[in-house]
Amino acid sequence: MKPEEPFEDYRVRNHGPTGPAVTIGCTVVALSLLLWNMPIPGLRGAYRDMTAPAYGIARLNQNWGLFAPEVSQTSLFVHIELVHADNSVTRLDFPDGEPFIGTYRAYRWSAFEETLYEEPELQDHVLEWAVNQVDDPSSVVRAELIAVESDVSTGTSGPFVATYVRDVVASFEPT
Amino acid sequence: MSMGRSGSPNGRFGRVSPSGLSLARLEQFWLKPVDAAPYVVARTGYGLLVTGWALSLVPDFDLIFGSQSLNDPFYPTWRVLSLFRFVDQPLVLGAGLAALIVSGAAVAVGHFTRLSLPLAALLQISLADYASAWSIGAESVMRLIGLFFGAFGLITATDRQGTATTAGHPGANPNGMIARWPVLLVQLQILLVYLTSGLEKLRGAEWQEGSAAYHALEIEHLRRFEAPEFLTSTSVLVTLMSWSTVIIELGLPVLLIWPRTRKLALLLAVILHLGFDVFLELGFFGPAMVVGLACFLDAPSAKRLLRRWPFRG
Repeated sequence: MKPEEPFEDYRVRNHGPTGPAVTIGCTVVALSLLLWNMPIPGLRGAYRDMTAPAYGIARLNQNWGLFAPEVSQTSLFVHIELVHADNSVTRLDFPDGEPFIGTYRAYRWSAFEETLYEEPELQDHVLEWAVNQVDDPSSVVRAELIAVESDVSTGTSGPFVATYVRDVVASFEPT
Repeated sequence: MSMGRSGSPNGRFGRVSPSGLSLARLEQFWLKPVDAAPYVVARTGYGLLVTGWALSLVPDFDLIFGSQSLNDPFYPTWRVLSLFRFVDQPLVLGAGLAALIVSGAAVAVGHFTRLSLPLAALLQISLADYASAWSIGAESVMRLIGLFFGAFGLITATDRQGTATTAGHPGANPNGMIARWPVLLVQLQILLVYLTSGLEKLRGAEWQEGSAAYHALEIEHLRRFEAPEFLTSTSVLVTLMSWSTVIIELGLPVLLIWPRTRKLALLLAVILHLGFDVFLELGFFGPAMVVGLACFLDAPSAKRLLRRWPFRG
């Protein structure tokens, strides 16, 4: 296209009959993005409650508030312990990675550990899966999902020595 | 022919509503031809991004998609448009992952973009949906860029989507220009990420008092490299890091919109994401945002980048 080509010619040649559809689609999408992210929390919450299913279908749902957490939260590590009939324990850890290239794998498992910690539906499935990872699943009498959390960092600066608390989040006994 | 207040003379799109907003004006806004170079840079980045994302899934394929999957089939709730909603056998998911690697690479080198771009977007969204228990903000940014670029790829002929070689040469080649709507939508999305995130931070007590960066650096399970002790032990630095994050995030939308400050804004944004990426384990979030930021490049800068890119499409 030459720079001086009239807009109408450009539109017809490049979009033809889809031009109006593209225009309307873009306008609707832009307005949807603006409304979903409106800066008034109360109004935004009510709007999201009403429209979440439609946004989910259109795949325009998003939550950038997750990048603004009240960050004095606990560090969370999750693993699985399989207790055998002879009281021995097999520990299963989720994959991790080194901080250079491995981080592009490890972030995914950090996210999974958080999801697993929060979602009871997923816990049973994962514990049942874990039992089948040992050579003799019949030797497992109990599978436990263990969360190791550090306490909340306090203050505003300076050295922070975490103390860790071990918690059994979920338990599964194979039949 | 010019498009003044009366709009197009053909009548169909030319009526101006009482509010002054007409379909013709909206068409001019969204379909205005612009230099393809910034889009081609962003599209190339998107191709590299989804290819890298797909490759990073390969070591864990069995645990996420395979016969040993930890995924609860009832867990994901947003699989309405997913390719793998009804057919999720490991073989199919594996073929999907392989197709994503191939189509992502094709997008990166600018080949068959009418097919490869929407396919890569659809596969990335579908696989991320399937693995939603493993997803964080990075996947959301990739999904939204994929939706806008994928739609553009689908409805625009390949030879009108721009290539690294032809971008910005309207006289020599018809694909030097593109309609600007995919670039505008990604720009809007990026602005909203910073604005929303910045405003949310502004409301948080720890961000206001300036201790948020200190606490963030102490979250072990999100840590990539440990911060030097002088950073966390110096109260002034901690406060500076916290407040500068909020100020940059709130300032970026304005600085990115204003052409005169756009280069400064891009530099600030890249520094911000580098800072996040060094200390925090955020996966593909930083790279995904940088891909979106490429849509704000001016055409000469984008062309300089494209000249260094060995694959010309």
